[in-house]
Amino acid sequence: MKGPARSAALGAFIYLALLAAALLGACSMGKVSTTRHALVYGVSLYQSMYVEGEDYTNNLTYSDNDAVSMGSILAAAGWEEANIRVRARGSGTTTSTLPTKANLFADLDDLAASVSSSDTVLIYFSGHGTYRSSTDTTYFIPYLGISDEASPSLYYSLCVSPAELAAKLEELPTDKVFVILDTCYSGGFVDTGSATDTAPQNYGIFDDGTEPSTVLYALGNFGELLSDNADRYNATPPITISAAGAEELSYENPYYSHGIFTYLLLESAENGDSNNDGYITASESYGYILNRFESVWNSQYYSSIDPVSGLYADYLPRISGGARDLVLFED
Amino acid sequence: MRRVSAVLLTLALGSSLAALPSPGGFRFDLSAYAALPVTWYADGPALRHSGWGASAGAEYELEAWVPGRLELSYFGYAPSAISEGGELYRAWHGLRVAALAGYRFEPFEALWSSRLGLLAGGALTAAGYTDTNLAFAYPSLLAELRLDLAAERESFLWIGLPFEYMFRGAFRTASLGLALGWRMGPVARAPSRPAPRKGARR
Repeated sequence: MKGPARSAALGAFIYLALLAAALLGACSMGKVSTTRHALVYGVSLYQSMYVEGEDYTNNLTYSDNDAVSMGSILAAAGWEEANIRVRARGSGTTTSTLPTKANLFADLDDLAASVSSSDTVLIYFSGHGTYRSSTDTTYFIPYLGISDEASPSLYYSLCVSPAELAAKLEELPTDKVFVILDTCYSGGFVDTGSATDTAPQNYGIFDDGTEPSTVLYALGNFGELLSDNADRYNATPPITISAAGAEELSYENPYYSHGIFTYLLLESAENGDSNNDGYITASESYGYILNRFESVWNSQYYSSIDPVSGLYADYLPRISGGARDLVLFED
Repeated sequence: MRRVSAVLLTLALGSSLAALPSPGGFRFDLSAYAALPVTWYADGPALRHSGWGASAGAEYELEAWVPGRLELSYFGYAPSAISEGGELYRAWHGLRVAALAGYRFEPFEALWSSRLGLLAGGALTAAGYTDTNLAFAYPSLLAELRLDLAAERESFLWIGLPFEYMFRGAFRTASLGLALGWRMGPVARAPSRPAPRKGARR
């Protein structure tokens, strides 16, 4: 290659290199503009659940507080206050305003009729969750989901299963949807898509401290993960964050006056902006919760067994799979 | 900490490979790169990330041809920019094994004794979404334009423009990078610059 051609080739290479460097350096951030709607539910008191003579009660203490605080933090973090509907036992006195399954589905019907495809929707629930072994189904339990009888029993038809919730969410015109659950067994609502959760659904078996690296896990299960990748799962499932795995309990604590998970979720709205861009995404919030969970709860409950359920008392919040993420809070 | 360990492991592996005797046309190199991936899905926004990676490579060189190159890389990609609608794509990191082949030629023989190379191939990646416990895997296609500087030396620096097209489930990611590498091992010249024959008549 002679002089001019040589110079042109070298010039082209240098140009491409400089172009790549310039593109790498450019990272502008625009203003996020989406109308946000939130349904925030909390159930502390499941009617008259206290059973005389028993050493525990099925009522919770802080789920109402979780919901009220979640509503407040959303209003302070970019969610339009008029579009936040909080339903907690303390917020209403009649069944029509209480956090029941019927009201949740009616609220979702309202949203299906009113939101646009560019809007963002969040469903938050704090309360009880349960697992039904006969159908291998997880539920969260709204108000009325547990009976008012002396011998408490569940009414599954008044509880919400993952399939029921997914069917209702399908009716929304938007695919920008958050589902955040602070209940026992809530990992049953988390769809990992083509990814796999490397932590087992009963996190307690990690008590020996051998939590695997995600990359090493992927290497060890490469064929299976590659096959899942080829299935090309739905690109836009709801971004779901759960307090616990599908086989784990979730706890509340008087020291925090909240569920542990919700306390850290609220904290992430203040401190979770890891890249300081003014936006806290679901992944940032989850990462913050995960990092804090160890010191706030799990470090105190290694090898502890819940006396009622017989399950491990340490647990781990979960998040759904897929490459997509959404802005959860604005700083 | 896990990421740092993996990078050190990759570099140690590359150094070990480099320390091996390299008979014939085997060459080894270490490199680092910065990358600019763009991710999208059907009906979804195309959004930019930034990223980095470190690689150790071993290749067989047959004059100007590179019939086989294996490359092990550890990389990390940041979350993407955020769309006006509040969407973005997650950060991820992983370990990539690539197989490539290519050709090198010398357009700049009088300038830095440099040469250009074109490599193409495929890769498989084991990855995790950063700050989660979610693991996944995906295949990708690779192409790289490489400029070897002072290629007549036994060891030399090279700069490259690696391109990768990733098939991540329902998502696609295209990444253009800028790489700087250090190649070790005996030199192998391309045929466009043959050595003079002894005793040849004028």
